[in-house]
Amino acid sequence: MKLKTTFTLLLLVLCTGSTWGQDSTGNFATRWWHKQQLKSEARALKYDTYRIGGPSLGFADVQDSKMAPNIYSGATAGFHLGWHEYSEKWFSQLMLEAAFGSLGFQDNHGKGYTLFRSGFNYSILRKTNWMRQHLRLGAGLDALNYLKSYNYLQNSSLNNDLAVGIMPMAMYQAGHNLLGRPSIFYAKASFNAFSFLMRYPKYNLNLNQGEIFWQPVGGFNRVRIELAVSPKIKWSQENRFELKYSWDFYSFNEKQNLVAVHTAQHNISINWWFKTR
Amino acid sequence: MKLKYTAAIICTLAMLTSCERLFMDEVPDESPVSVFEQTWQFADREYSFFRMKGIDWDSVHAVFEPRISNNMTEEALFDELGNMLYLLRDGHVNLHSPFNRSRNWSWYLHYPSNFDYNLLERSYFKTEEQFTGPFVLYDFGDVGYIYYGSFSNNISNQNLNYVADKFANHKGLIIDMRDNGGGSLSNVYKLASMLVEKETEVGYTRMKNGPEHDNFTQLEAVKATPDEDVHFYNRKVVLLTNRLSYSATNYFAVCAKALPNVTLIGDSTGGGGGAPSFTELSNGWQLRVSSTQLFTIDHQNAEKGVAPDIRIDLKAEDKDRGVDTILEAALAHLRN
Repeated sequence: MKLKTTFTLLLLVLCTGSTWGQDSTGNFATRWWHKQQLKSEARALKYDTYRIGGPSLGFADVQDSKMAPNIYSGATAGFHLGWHEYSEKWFSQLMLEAAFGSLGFQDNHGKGYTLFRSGFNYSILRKTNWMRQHLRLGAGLDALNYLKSYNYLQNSSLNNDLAVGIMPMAMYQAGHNLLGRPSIFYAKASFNAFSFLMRYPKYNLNLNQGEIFWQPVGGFNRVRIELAVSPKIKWSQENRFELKYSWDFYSFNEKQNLVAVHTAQHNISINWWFKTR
Repeated sequence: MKLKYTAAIICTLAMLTSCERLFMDEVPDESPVSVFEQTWQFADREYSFFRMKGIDWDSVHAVFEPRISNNMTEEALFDELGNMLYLLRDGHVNLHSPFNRSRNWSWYLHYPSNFDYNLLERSYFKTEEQFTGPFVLYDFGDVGYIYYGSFSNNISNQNLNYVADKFANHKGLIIDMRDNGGGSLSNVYKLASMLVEKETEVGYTRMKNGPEHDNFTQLEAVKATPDEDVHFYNRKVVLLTNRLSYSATNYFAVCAKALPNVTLIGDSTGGGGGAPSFTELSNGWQLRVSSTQLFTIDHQNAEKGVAPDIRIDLKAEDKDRGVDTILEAALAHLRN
């Protein structure tokens, strides 16, 4: 009985934040929330931070020798999510993207060649003293997964590649006015310096067996180029609209073409940059 | 200055993205010579029975190469490729084009058929059969019978439990898989789950894992596993097979051969122990070749079929008398 009463009182103190409990959980949470808001405000003064998201449309070329020697092409659609933070010297970004595509070769479309591409990238770049400080250099950790499915090939229809790598990158960024709106222009180029690559299946049918490769540049080649412009939105002093084009190419050739995969992805995405604090 | 940088970036971008196909492997053209080479090479790389069948694939290339020219018609090319692939003597080797499918069906056409569904319907079932999911089910009073015509027709737990319960007090069950040309291996495991009380090793399989003719993975055990939702059938079972019992049915026969309560009666299965790999050629034709191997529990390669425990043929005169001698042998085996 004593225990029950004590427990009830404790619960009341914790839940209500009444005069009994000046340091109750409710008050603690409120104070913590206000503190975070203050921190965010201070951070917002120091950094420009944006949450980014939007749809993307694209075009892909895929050649995987384990499936067929042909190059399959077609349209893709997907989305793009990200986070950018600018400080006086540093720029960091987190990017997630996914796209689904329906491909074919020549006029052989409609046999069910689909790809699902998903990617993750976290990179940090620093301003240099070159080019009037418009040039930033840095590196990122990147993971890209390509799931290819081709129903027409029945038992051999599924192939998957996962490439994780360190990507050195260079970014040229400048501010201009575009149609009277202050805008950020940037061009970014990166490549995989060293990659971990995992392919399923290892040889033909057995999806339980994958093959792993560790490859420096030259063994596994991946290049990504981005070109973007992001003017401030007319009705907002902080948020931005972005039009971005990206080209992502990777190529891997091993064992005299037995394991050869080449893909190129063109993407146009329309993103909204939401200023955060 | 800014304009210069922008122009340089755009030019580099345009250069790189417009020539991406230069970085890819050359796509073979659609000429007959190229299609011939692709066909030969895919089989050379992926086919799993060259050694076992003693086929000299390089000699085959030497024989067929002079017959291929770039001015031959599509149909002539298809015929030549079909003739080349015929030499692999494998029902899982096919070339599909919009106008034909190459095949080698000698593994059953050169043997007695040993099956006539019409005979079963008219002389045995006489409209008293039941259709239980994919099975045609008949009750001989003391012996149960199911006919399963294709492993492409999915089996449910309810179907299996109905069969197991209905014939639980009979002397045994006949599973007739004559003329069952195969289908999905998941149905093989499903049906086998009714026949085992505990996980049982029933065979072995291995896969091609490289381009050389003897590049294979280690042998992996094939196991029949009971399903807690499927009732175990603990009576004697007879499996009826003929030469057209192929592919997944051959796989099931390998499993059945390893089970002590199952007897195989009829003719050898047709084989088809290799699961096929597929590709698409540059002219859009689809090619498949076997690229795994299957072995019985006593390490016999099942590519050429699984021999029955009791060999019986269905002769024309017996058929004329309205007697299925293979079925009669199964009934007699279970009744004794």
